[in-house]
Amino acid sequence: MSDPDRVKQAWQTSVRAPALPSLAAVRADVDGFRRKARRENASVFAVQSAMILGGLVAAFLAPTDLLRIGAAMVAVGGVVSAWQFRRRVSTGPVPEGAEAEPLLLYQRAQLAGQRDAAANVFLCFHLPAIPGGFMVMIGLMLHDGTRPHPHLPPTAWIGVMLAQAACLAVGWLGMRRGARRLQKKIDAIDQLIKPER
Amino acid sequence: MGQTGSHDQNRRYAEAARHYGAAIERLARGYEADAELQRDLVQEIHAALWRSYLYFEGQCSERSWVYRIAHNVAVSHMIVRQRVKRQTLAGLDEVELIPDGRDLEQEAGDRWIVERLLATIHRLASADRQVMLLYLEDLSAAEIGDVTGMSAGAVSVRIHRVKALLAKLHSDKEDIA
Repeated sequence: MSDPDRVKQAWQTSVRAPALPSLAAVRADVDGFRRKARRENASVFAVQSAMILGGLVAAFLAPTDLLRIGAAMVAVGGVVSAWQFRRRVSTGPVPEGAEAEPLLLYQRAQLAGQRDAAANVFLCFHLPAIPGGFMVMIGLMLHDGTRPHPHLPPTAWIGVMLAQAACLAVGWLGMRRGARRLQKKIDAIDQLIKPER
Repeated sequence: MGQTGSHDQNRRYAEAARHYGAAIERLARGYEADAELQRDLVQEIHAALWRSYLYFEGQCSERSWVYRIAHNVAVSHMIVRQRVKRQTLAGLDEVELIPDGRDLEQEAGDRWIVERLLATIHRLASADRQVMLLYLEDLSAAEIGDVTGMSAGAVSVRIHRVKALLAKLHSDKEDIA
């Protein structure tokens, strides 16, 4: 017996009699994973619903026209965001048969899904809220809808808007960087996959 | 709504679990160092395996099927874990066997080998780890290619490195004994 074979034997005898889970426990796990995926999606939809509802309420109750228009745009942004999330990012149970793919193909599909999600987060969640948010900021800036706020100079509002834009830009660049990192892993897998596939 | 599965699905799963249960547990140890999370991973693999017998119709050998399911679940587990804990992984050509400072005379030979082997496997990059674990389970190069989807050339290069690593591990143990 060669040295690698001796190590193999030691490995294979390291677990002889595993404690197998009962069939009931296995079935409960399957249901548990489905429930978890549904819960994760539901929590995102709850945030989006709050954005839509808050926007709609403010669209009727806000004191100036600009704020009312801004709030209505935020609500529309929430609807777009929910629609995009459902279309692009939401997690469901692994499609039937996917788990039996050769594992590098499966791994590649998982990484590609994550890469697309990272690349789309800005598009799905931030971009739809920006026009409404901008309009609300203008509405707040103008004291009674026509004149600038008496206690705050216009430069303060410009500063706030620039800070918000900078935060969005940093988030967007971070997501792009994450997507590029995932793409590198996908490229490495592509090098290993059979050429005929 | 819960699922109960058909009698045939339950029977085929139970047979596979009995036959491959030990290999699944070893695989989970190869992917996950934390004992608690190892148990979770084993449960996840069994759940996926049971589910898979709904649609297994001999697309490949049952052995390849079970290993594909098990490794795919483990890969998903590791992707989630890496988001939590980032760790630098190495390739087969870069990884060093983990030095061991304990009193080796107190350790049984095989247990010492397995522990060092596990410490090394945990540091391997994903594709290398998959080949190492499948090789240790006695799968041939063709079967490893079938399970992983890796090209024959890539599998053969990795098996060559795995063998060298295992031989070094064994000779280290002999030197110490």
